[in-house]
Amino acid sequence: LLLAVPPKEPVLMCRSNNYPKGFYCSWHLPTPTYIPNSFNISVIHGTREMVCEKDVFPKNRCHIRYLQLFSTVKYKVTLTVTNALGKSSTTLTFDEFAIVKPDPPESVVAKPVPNNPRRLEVSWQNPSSWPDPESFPLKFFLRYRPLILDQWQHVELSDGTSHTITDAYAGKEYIIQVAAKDNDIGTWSDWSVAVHATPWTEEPKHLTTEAQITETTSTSTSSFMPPPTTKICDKGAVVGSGSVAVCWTAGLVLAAYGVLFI
Amino acid sequence: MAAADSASATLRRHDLCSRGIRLAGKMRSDVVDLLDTYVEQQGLDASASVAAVEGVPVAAVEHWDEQTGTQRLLENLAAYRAFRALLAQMLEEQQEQLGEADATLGRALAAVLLQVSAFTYHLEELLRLENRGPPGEEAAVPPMPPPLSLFERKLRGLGVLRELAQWAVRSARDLRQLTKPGPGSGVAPSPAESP
Repeated sequence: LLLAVPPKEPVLMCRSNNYPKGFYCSWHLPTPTYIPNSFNISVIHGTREMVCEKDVFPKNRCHIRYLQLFSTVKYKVTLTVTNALGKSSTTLTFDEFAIVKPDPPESVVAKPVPNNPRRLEVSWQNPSSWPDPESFPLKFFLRYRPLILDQWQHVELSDGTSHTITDAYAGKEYIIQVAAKDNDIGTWSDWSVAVHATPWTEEPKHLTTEAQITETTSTSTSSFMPPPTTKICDKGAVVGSGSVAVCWTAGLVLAAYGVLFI
Repeated sequence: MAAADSASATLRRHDLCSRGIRLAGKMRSDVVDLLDTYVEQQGLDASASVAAVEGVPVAAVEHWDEQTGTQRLLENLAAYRAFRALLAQMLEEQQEQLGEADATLGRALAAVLLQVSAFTYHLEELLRLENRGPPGEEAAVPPMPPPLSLFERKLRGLGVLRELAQWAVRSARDLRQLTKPGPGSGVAPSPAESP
């Protein structure tokens, strides 16, 4: 048996992710009432009442077109929720600039740079919801870290939609994210979807050499040749740095294999 | 020769716009800091509403995206000339009111005044490049307001700085529009530039 209740104070949020076109407000009830509720929203700017057009989906959202830009007059948004047992309302007051928050950058791609074991090339695109990046350019914040560490590195970029990381640890897989903000106003977007990438590493030449020796001295017809994409070394067993990495565990195995068949 | 002059003017215009955008960004940042200092030193509530004050240029604009380049420059120029006079007045009043007791606020006001003057120069140069020439200053500067009480002067100062902060953002946007090709820049292409 569920008891119907009057609505509690609704939670209201307003944001502009498509500046300078307009902004949207969305709301929800903190706890269910178990009976139908109706929502009424009013938006006042100075002495002017503005129309908040309800979205078809989601139903708890409406959007407002800016009639003026660069105004110091605050916007006042009041949401009232009513059901058969009562009503409750909440009001938000804010400046035009304060609610500007773009969506995260899209299509983030990170790639190794051939012959550069400490570099990763990262590129992304402006969020598609941002209507005019030429007149209202975004700046970006990139963060990256190797998976094995908790500490992020940060880079702020005032123009362009790409960046080359030049201090990556060789051979380590990285996680990378990007955020966006209008160049002049508002707050940072949420972080983009994370992408992973590992800097370029040179193929370990000496392993091929050992395999060749094993093949020529062995009386067995079998040979040990790792497929090109197989990682035969786990990260902990790799010593050295850069393009010359000695995988000593695999080396011991190969040496033992070779001895067995001499 | 005409093509070279046109190309030179285009480069000069682009250079002035780029510098102006950077100056507007710095100006806004400094005005925001100055606002914090001003509110604190004058004992005001940062969230206080200030009604529109006569003589303070209002940055708010409708149909901003439809303005021509020349309109943008003229409105900016009128605004910054007015701010130059208003800030000079604020500086004088602040020195009379507080004397040397608060050099920090005075220095911050003077620094912003300098930036406003520099930006005004940029706008005048841009208008000269468009063969319009800046209008006379007498026409652009609003009349002096009637005498105000100390508290009214403080509130007016708050209004001035708030609108200046908005204008700095608007100006950066306006100058970016000027660097874009097309009708928004409001400049008819020369024969050399025409497709």
